[in-house]
Amino acid sequence: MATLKEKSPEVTVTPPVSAGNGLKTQEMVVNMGPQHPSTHGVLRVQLTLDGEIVVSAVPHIGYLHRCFEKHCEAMNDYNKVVPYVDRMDYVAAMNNEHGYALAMERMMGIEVNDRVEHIRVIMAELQRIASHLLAVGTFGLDIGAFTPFLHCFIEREKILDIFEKASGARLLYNYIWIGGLMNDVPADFKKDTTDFIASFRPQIKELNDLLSHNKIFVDRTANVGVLPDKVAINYGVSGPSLRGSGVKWDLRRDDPYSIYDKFDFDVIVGEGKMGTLGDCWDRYIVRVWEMEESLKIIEQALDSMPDEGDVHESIPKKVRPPAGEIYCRTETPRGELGYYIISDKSTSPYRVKARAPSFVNLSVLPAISVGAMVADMVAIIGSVDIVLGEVDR
Amino acid sequence: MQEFLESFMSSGPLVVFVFSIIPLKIILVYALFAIWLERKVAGHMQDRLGPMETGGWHGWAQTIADLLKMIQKEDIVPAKADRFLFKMAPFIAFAASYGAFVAIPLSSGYIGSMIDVGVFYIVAITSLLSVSIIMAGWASNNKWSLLGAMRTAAQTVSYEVPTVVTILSVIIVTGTLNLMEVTEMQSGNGFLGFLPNWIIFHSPFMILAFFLFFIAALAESHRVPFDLPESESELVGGYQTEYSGMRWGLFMLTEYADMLLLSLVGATLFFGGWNSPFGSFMDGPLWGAFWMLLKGMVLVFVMMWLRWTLPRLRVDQLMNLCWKYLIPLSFVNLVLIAFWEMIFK
Amino acid sequence: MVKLLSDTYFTFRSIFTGMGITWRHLFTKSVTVQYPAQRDVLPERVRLKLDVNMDDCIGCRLCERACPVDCITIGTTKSTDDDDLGETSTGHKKKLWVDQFDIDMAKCCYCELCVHPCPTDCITMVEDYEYSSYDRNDLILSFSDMTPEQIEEVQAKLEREEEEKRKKKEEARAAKEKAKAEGGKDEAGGGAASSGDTDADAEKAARRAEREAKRAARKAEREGKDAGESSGAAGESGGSAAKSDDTDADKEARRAEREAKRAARKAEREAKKKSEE
Repeated sequence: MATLKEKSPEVTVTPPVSAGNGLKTQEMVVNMGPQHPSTHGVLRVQLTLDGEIVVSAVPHIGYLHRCFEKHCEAMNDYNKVVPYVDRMDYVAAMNNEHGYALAMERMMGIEVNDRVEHIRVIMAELQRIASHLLAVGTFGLDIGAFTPFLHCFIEREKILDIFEKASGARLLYNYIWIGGLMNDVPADFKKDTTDFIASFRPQIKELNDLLSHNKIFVDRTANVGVLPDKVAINYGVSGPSLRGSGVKWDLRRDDPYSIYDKFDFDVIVGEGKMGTLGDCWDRYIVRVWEMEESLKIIEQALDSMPDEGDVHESIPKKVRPPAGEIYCRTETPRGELGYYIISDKSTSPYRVKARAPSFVNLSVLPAISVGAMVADMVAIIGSVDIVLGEVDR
Repeated sequence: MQEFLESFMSSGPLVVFVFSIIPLKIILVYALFAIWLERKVAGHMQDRLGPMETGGWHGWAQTIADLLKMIQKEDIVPAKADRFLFKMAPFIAFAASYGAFVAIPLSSGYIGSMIDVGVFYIVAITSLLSVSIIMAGWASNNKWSLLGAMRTAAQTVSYEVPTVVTILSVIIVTGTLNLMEVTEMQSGNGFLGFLPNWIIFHSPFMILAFFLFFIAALAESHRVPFDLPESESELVGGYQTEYSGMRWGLFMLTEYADMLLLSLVGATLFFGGWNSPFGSFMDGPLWGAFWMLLKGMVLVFVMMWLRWTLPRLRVDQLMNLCWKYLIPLSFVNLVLIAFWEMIFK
Repeated sequence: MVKLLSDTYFTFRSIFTGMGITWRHLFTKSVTVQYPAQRDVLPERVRLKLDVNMDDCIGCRLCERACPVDCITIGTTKSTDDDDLGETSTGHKKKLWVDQFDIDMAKCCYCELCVHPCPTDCITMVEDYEYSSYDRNDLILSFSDMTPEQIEEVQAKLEREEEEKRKKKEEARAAKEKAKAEGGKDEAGGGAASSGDTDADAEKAARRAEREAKRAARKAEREGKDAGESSGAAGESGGSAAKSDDTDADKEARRAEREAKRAARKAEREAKKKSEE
């Protein structure tokens, strides 16, 4: 019988070598995480260090594995999967739900009305802003700037308030259902969102003044963890991390789903303004400007949102998709989130596989962190913006 | 004051003891206040409130509560640590910064010891701090601690150069190393008719000198943006990682004492020490102590302000800043101040 | 040199801009809510704690089936003919004693999937978020207000009634058979008799299945899904059985047949489960 013992990746440490003056030097293996303030959860990176310089970095994952895919198979109703989907990328639950709902609707051939589509897009874009705020805030925190982090959180709270009014939850919404929404948005939704947009625009400028263009911050992030576009594509990196390398690839534009083809927005790409193209600063600034673009989408969607329409209209009584399979991908704040769902014509999914962007983006970490310093490791992990809930699922 | 105490108590050693623990009392009370202030400053800069509950008014007793908690905590020493060095390190750290207070004139009536090489003594004894941090880092037997300690060694040794050179440029003007005399030279409001005779107004280069001194002092006291030895988001806690309870508390106390020390040195060297900014108005030994601490606290506040604004430098950038910018600049400045002194005196 | 100077300028400008921003924030109003003293006004849809209005609950188990984490456990007993449980505020007739309605808030994931299917809107999310406790058993909320004695009484009553009904039915059938036998050599008679037999057996089996399912549900932990489904179906069959009181024989026969089928399936499943255990 084969042993199930996990084989840990080889970590080679060079034997001590003489430094020439009678002293010996040796590489040092350090475990960064799973309990480390800057690994964004429970990531463990096994670092081999030559002094402060990283010789190799091996990420170890699985500390937050919750059997998402197996759980989905155990559910006797496709609707019951939605709360589990929320818990994958728990800082962007709306986007996860949106992707899952779209996949199921495509499978069952459900058309939802325009109001539902608009609300979904607004929610998804608000969630994108909230998620990016958290990403840039914690990135600043990794670099050592504490204050921007909390300023970002204040803005994020405002978005969560909007979500709470609509769905009743602040983090794990279970709001976007197969074929519709849980509730219609509250009466003052339009006003709340418009107020938020008005108050948020100056905050982006302030964030740029306080953090993005701070010289120390730029020094810490520019030319660090350079991810060339070819490497990024080869590793399957997606989302802002890919666009930071200058690749203009955004599923909202290149494979439009929902009603994104109706809206006018730019795909932000990194330009290498502060250093090399594809460095940490580029990945960071793409997120900052994407918030601005999301605001544009929200504004347009609010304008064209129909006032009438039943959000429960096309929710199926019993979700029983025809036998078959589907792969549906959407652009979440972290990249391409794909759901591969197989149905065996029963009410319970035969298989739900999620292509999690964080997981794929994390795979590029060893490639871009060699030669960096320990402090840069923190910046690189922060700039790739992983959520361990999604990496481990 | 010493004479007064001597006549009052008529016993030499006791007077010396009472006299010598005055800075300790000041440091302890100041640390309680400064930690509370830091939390408040941080809170309000981040649109929060900071501590609000303990003690009633704006959580003034929060630090006291924390102190009591720290004293009660278990004193954990890692199994593989070098026990003796591990336990000694915090005491040496605190002794280093406490020892330096001896040479600082807190008011016209009080100086711990009237040593003629006061400035030199302060520079020398604060170097002990880096020894204690290396001790702590090495003895912890933790790789993060070790990294932090190594950073400290590099940082402290480097930044002592610009600190000393900028202090030297002040000494050129004053001609004495005794801080009491340095302060006395700055009394009166003669400059441009109304400005106090502070050294910072001596020449434009002095402003630059103060600036360099302040940056170097930030690095010496390991404050953001130079807090690399502990840098909690990279090195977990640096040399403090394995410390807990009151030993950790002593490191914390040292950090704040160090901030005050360097602020007071800065205030003495550049801002007239215990001299009142209004000439003879509000002057005197007690007012002197007030002015001295006020000037120190203003600089401490600026340090806090910087901490909650700026990110942290990387270790190689830290070295770059020191060796490529601060040291050449401070030497050039020293020469310029020397010329200024030759021409205008 | 120019680059050096512009860099220096850039550095200091950015640092002082940053310091200006933090200085400004030092005096802006803070967003902190001093929690126990001040409280946020929560929107009406907040999902903080589940609450059940037992007066309205008809024991349909839709919420139990909707729950993705199986944190709701419901036990029901058929009501007898002489008991009138009244109507819910939404006009649904109550036919089942709900002798158990437990929600484990420690398991609950606050998804609100249970609230939406409820036909009488009796399960709701309420605005109560201060119910943390030191013992996780304190988080199991029991909503049923029936005492164990009441439950026992109700169950005993039900058993008695069913016994009586069965006897009555048997008598009726016997009478029918007799009449048929008397009426001539009709081959259908044998068939009817045998069908009557299976009917009675099936009913017994159904009751047994129901009881067993209830026990299984109460134990809850093992094979949550299977138990939940079978007990749910059992509840329905109970409901339909209760409905089929004073209808004409034809209808009853058909229903009995259906029930028998269902009960047989259930018995099979139970047996399988038992053998598995």
